[in-house]
Amino acid sequence: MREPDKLMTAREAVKKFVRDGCSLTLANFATSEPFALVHEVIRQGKRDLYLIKSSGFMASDQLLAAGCLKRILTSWHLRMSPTSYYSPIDKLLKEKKVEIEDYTNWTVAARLLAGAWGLPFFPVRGNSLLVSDIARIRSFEGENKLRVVENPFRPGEKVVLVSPLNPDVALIHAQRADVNGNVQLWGPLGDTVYAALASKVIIASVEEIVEEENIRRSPFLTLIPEFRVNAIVHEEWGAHPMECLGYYDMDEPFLLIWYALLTRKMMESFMDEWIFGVESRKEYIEHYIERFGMEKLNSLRAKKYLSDTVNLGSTFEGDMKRWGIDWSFFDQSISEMVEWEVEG
Amino acid sequence: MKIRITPLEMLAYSLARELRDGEIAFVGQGHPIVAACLAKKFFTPNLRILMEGGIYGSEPYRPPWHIADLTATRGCLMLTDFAGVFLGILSRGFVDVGILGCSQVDKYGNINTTVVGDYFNPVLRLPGSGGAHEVGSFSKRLLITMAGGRFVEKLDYVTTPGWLDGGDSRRKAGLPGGPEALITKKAIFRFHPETKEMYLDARYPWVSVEEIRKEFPWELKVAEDGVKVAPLPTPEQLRFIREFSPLTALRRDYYLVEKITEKHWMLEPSEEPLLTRIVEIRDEDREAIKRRIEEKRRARGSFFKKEIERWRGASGQ
Repeated sequence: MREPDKLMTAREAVKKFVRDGCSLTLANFATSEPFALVHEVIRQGKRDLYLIKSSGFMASDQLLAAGCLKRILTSWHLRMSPTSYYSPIDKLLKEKKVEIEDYTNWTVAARLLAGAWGLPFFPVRGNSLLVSDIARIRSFEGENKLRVVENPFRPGEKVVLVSPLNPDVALIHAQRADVNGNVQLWGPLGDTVYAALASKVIIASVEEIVEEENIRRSPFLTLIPEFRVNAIVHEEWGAHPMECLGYYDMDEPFLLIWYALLTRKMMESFMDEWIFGVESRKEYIEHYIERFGMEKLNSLRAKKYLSDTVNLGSTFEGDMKRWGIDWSFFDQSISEMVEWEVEG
Repeated sequence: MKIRITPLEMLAYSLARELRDGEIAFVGQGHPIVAACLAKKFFTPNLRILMEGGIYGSEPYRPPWHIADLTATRGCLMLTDFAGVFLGILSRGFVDVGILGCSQVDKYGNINTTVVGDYFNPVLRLPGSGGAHEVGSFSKRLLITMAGGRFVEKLDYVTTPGWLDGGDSRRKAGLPGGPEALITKKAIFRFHPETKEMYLDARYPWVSVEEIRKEFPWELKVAEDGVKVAPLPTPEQLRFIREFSPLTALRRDYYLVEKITEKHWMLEPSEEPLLTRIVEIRDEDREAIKRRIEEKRRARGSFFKKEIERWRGASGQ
């Protein structure tokens, strides 16, 4: 059902929907990570979260570094190359403060897709999984990580089944939405839409709030419909330092600071400055301008590369006109017309 | 003729030469995408680049930072999602060639990118499979690159199957394709058609076979017709690599790791990656190169130095 009043601030949305110990997915695949919402989760000190994410980049790493996570179900987690500097995933796994279950990108996506479509399980081609350690080594999912059955249609063939995943909350950053919660996004999708639709609650931050009419003019861009969305948060630069197609590019030098943080202390001072030191995304961007200048921020803005508009039109003529019918048609031609006296 | 080239540039060039015109290539970020763009420019104009996030027919104007980088979407032929990529294209067998990086590789081209040491007690946690498992399993041909990894007798974790136990074991497991070549910063390796064991096929001109052998825990076999010398790029090709991706020469070697206390490690911008490999070097060149290295190091280092000092100050170290 459609619900009114979905428009809220990041603080309100996270406070209302993200509970300690809940399962969480950051729906965006690799690009446009929902940093505004993730930073809010960190600021509100949410704990023991279970992160479900096919491939976790910097936003996942910050959740981990801030101590919000207890479990991670993933296929890939950010780990820069030099072998001996501080990496939260490495450190926390060694200290056994976090548990991890390793899949592959498609198997995580298949589980989310099963969740999104309400399927009892999803079959994946199993030959390769069964000769790798992805099937052999199991962590907290245990027996249920994946199961092997015989293909009933081709006896002798093994099929791997994965079970559906339905995260409690999805955080997603998208290009635009209307106030009813019709979320439009475009670009390479990965498992973005499966992850969002599999979730019980969807919190979407968007670069722009547009009129319902704009949504209706490009309905094929509505990938997450209003009846699934619980909160819309208007956040310009909501994915910075990652990119948002049509709005801004990735801020590479800023991103590299995170990679160059060498100790726990340095990482904490980074988070003190950019997450805990600001109240909102707006303040974050103001702080960014203060530190690096407006010019730097503007240099990230996307130039135009417009898609061709396509014609979604038709003749726009109603049936009376199309069939050449006027009102006399109803009196003369329809034999089953009943006449009934109406009182009053 | 002289040519100055870094090992990573040579890796990217060697990889580009392995691609064939008209192929659909599943490409990840880093040197694979640089190689694919180089190939598209000089060898295989009809190569179709497929990126995991859902970008088909990409023509990037700069090297993407990740597999759904939005700068790679401009003017691509199709934008799709995981089901489109993994089911519709990859596992149906429409990917002609896949390219994967690796951290550990064994004799038969099996790959580990998940963990070094025991899974539950890791010595070093690596990023994980991502889409690598599927790419290695379902591409018609597989090319492996290794820029900083190791050859090992037994993998700590089998992330992506190669030729499994060699011979026909991969086919028996019902998998198509299989690794065709492994390209490192020193040499190009291939796999024996029968036994599927890795052998040394070509070395880069400045690397000796003995130097290559040192990295192997097993007795490395060499090509039956002798070890070849890998061809070098032309100056135009090299210029393309540098203009398209200035970081190719630097990536992965970007830092010099330094231990500052018992617990903490410090990274400084390193001049190591700029130690340019020279073929037929003259003494006056050596001086000029040294100067350029020094200049570049200063220019490149200033950003990190400033940031690192800032953090050092902020965290009271």
